[in-house]
Amino acid sequence: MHLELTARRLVTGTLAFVLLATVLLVVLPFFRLRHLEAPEGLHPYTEAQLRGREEYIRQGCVYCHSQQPRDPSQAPDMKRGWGRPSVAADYLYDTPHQLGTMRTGPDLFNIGARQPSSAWHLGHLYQPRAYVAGSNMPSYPFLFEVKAEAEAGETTVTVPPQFAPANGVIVAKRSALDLVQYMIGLDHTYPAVSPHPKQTAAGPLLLPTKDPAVLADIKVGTGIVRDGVSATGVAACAGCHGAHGEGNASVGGPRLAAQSDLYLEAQLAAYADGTRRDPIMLPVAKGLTQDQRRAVAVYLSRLSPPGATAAPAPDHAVLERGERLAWFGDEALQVQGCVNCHGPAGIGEPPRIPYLAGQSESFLGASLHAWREGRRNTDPSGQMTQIAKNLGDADIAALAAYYASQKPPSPVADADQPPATHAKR
Amino acid sequence: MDPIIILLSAFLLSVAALAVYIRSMQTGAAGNDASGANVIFAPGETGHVDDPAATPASHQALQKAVTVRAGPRSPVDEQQLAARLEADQSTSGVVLAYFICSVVWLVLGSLAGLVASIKLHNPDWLTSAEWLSFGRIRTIHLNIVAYGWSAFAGGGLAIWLLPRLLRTKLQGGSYAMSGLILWNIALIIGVIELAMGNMSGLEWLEMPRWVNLMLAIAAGFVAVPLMLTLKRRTVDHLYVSVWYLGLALFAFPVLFIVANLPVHFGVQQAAMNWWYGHNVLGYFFTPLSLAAIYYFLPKILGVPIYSYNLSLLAFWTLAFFYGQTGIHHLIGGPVPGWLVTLAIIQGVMMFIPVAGFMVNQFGTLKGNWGALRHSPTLAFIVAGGLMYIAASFQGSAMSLRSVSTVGHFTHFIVAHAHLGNYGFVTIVFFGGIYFILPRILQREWPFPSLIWTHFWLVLVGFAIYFIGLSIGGWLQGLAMLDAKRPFLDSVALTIPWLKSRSVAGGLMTLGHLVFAGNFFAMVFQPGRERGLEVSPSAVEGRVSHAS
Repeated sequence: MHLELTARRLVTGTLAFVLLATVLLVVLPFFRLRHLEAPEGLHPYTEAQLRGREEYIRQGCVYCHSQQPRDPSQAPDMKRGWGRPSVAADYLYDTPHQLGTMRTGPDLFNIGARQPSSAWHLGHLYQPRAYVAGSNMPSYPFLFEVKAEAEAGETTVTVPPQFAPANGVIVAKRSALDLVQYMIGLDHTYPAVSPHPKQTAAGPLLLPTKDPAVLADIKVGTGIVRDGVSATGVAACAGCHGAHGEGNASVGGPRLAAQSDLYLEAQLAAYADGTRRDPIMLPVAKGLTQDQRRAVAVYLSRLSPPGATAAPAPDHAVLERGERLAWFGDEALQVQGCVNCHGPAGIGEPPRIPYLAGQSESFLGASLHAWREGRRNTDPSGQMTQIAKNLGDADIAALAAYYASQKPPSPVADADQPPATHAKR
Repeated sequence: MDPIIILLSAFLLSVAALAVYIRSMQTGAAGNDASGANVIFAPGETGHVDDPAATPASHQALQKAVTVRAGPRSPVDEQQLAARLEADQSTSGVVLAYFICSVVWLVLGSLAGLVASIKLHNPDWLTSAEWLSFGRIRTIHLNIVAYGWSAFAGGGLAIWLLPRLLRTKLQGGSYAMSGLILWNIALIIGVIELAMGNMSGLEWLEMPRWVNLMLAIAAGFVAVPLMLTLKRRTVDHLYVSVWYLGLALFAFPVLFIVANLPVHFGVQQAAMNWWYGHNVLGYFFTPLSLAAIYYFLPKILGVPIYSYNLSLLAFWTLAFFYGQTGIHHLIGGPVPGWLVTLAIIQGVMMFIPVAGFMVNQFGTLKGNWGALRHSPTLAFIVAGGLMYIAASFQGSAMSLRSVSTVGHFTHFIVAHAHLGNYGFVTIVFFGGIYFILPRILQREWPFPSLIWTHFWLVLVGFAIYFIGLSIGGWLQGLAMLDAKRPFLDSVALTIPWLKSRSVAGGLMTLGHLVFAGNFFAMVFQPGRERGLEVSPSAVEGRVSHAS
C-alpha cells in the first residue's frame, strides 16, 4: 500500500474532498430547492413584519428558539401545539433562515397562531416572568421606554404591579412593536401542500421531451396502453386504467398516470414474480418483455390526464379520522403517519414510493387489504405489511376516503426541475 | 443527480474505505513503520525527550520515565539542530505576535462566555445594556473564541510548525504580520457590530458580510507565507502534520468564501449553514490541532509515532467523511431526507479516522504514560487527544436519529460542541503554546508551577462543565419528548446544571487568567536567558548550566 504523499497530491486530494462535500451539501440542495413554490396559505412578510424579523435577528432569538416543528413520529411537537412538521416551501420568504438548533425556549414556527395577543407579547418581552413563572428568558427593557405619560398614538404596556415601574407608564418602542408584529405573523397552520392547488392553465397531456430514448419508449408504451400485445395475449391497459392512465374505479383499476416509472416497472416485475399476487395482472406482466414494461412505465409516468371525478363526499368524521391517520398515524395502533413515506397529502416520494392522492376509494381499500393478507409483499422493510396488519377495517376505510379526496400529482419534470410539492422533508 | 445514487455512492465509498482500513491492519501496514515518522527527528535524536516547558528537574525525570524503544541514544546531528534553530528564529517574531493576540482574545472570549452562562440562570442580571443581553453576548463569545483565540493560536502554531517540518526558513513573514493586523481590525469591528446588533442571523457566520470579506483578505495574506514556505521545502517527505495543516489551509478559504456568497436562501441556506458551521471545526480547527498532536506527542517523548501508515489512512478518511456530516444539525428538520441520511452515514463512518488516531495515540504512549507527570506540554496534548477521541465517538453516536431525537435542541449539544472546540482544540493549543514560547523567546517560563495550576483549573473546570451540561441537556431532551410534561419542566430542570456550568466556566476563566499572567510575565519580563538552546543536546546543556 503506497499512501506516500507529495505536495501535489495533498493539494488536489484535500481540495477534491472539500469540493465534494460542498457539492453534496450546498450545490445540490441549491438546485433541488430552487424551484419551490409558496404554499397557498403562505404570505410574504409585511414591511412591519420584515422590520420585526430584523429585530428578531438583532436580539439573537434564534439561539434559544427553533422554527421547525418535528415530525410526530420523532417528537411530540404537534401535541405541544407547535404545529405540523414544516416543509421546505414554508421557508420561501425566510432569508436569512432562522430554523435554529436550540430550544431553551419553545419552537416559534406557529407562535402567532398559538398566542395572537400583541398585548401579551409586549408584556412578555418587557418581563417574561410576569407572564411565565420560571421562565429563563431575558427581559428586554431596552425595547421599551418608561414615560410620565404616553403620547397620542403610542402603545402602552400593562404588567402586574410588582413588575411595573414605580412611576410613569411603559411605552413600547417601534422595535418592540415590529418584533411582535413579526411573531404574530408566524402562523404556518395552513396545509403544507394545498389539496386543491391554484388552477393553472391545463398543461400538456404528455410531459414533453427531446430525449430520443424516451421518445422511443413513449411510442412503444402508447401502443401497448391502447392496444395491448396480441402476440402474448396482453390486454390493453386502457381497459382498466383508462385511456391516459387516469384509472377506473368501477373495475378497481388504479390511476397510473404520473406514477414514477421506476415504481411502475418494479410493480410489473413484482406481478411477474409473484411478490404481488393478482390474477389479472399476472398474465399481463408475464406477457411483456423487459423493454416493453419499461416503455409502458415511462409513457404512463409522463401523463397528466384531468383528475378523476370527485368521489361523493363521505362522512365528515370518517374523513377526519383518515386525515389524522395519514398525517400523524396512531400511537395506540403503533402505526406511523403515511406522510412519513408517501409524502404530504399522499403525493408520493418518487421514485420508490407511489402517490396515493386521488386513487379511488375502492382501490385504496383493496390495496391495504392485500397488504394485510400478504398478497402484496413488495416492501422489503416489511413496514407496509405491519402497518396494514395493525389497521382495523374502519381505519382502512377512513384512509381510503381521505386519500381519494386528495388531488393527484402531476408528472415529475425532468432533471433539475422537481415540482414544488416534491421537496422532501 | 438522483439522491439514491448519491447515497449509494457515498455508502460504497465508505465501505471501500473501511476495507482498506481493515486490510492495512491485517497486512501489518499499521505496524511500526519508521521512515516517514522519523522526519521530525534529527539523526540520533530519537530517544531524547524534549519539553521546553518542563523545569530542568522534571526534564530529567521525564527522560527517565520514557522507555526508549528506538535503540540506544547516540550523538545528535548538530547540523540539523542548527537548521531547526534557524527555522525557529525565522518565525519567532511572527509567532509571538500571533500568540499575544490569541491570549488577549482568549481572556475576552472567556469573560463573554461566563456572562452568557450566568444569564441563562439569572435572566434579570445586567439587562439594561442591550449589548450585554444573552443573544448578543453569547454571539460575541463564540466569535471571539473561534475567530480570535482559536484562529490566532492555530495560525501561530501552523506558522511555527511549517518551517520546522519543511526544514526551511519562513518565507514572507511580513505577509503574515499584515494578515494579523488586518484580521485583528476586522475582528474588532466585527465584535463591535455584533454588540450593536448587526448580526447576520446565521450561526458561526454572524459578523456582517463586509467584515467577513476583510477576514477573507486577511486569511489570504496569512496563506501567502505558508505557500511560499511550502515551495521552499528541503525535505522529500511531507510529515503527517503538514497534511493536516494543508487541509486547514486549503479548506478554510473554500468554506468561508462559499458561505459568504449572497445566493443562499431558506432551507438551502440552513443546509449551507451547517455545512459551514460543522466544517469550520472539521476542516479547520480539528486539522490544526491534530497537526499539533502528531508533532508534539512523538517529539516530546522522543518516540516516532506508533503507526505512520495508519495516520495517513486516518487523514484521508477524515478529509473524506468529515465534510459531509454537517446536516445532522438538522435531523428532523425540513431538509431533504437524503441529506440527513448522508450526514448520518458519514457521521458514523467518522469512526474510522478516529479509531486510527486512537490506535496511534495509545500506541505511541504505550509504556510512557508516566511521562505525563513530568511534562506539562504532554499533559495538555494527551488530554486534548483523549477528548478528541471522546468528542468524535460521541459525535458519531449523536448523528444517529434515535440519539439526536433526544439530544437535539438541548444543552447536550452545547456540551458536545465544547468537548470538541474546548476539550480538544483549545487544550491542545495550550500545550503547543507552552512548548513553543520558550523556543521562540529563548527563555524559560517564569512560573513553571502555574502551568500545572492552569492545567488542573481548566481540566477540572471543563469536567464539571461537560458532565453537568450533558446530564442537564439529556434530561431536558427527555422532558421535551414527553408530551404529558409541560414545556416549562424542560426549562426548570436545567437550571441547577446551568449553574454548575457557570461555576465550571468560572474555573476555566480563572485558569485562563493564570495562563495569561504567566504568558505576559514571560513576554515582558525576561527571565533566565536560554542561550542557543535547542533540543536535545542543548537541553542537557541547560541542565548543567542550571546545576
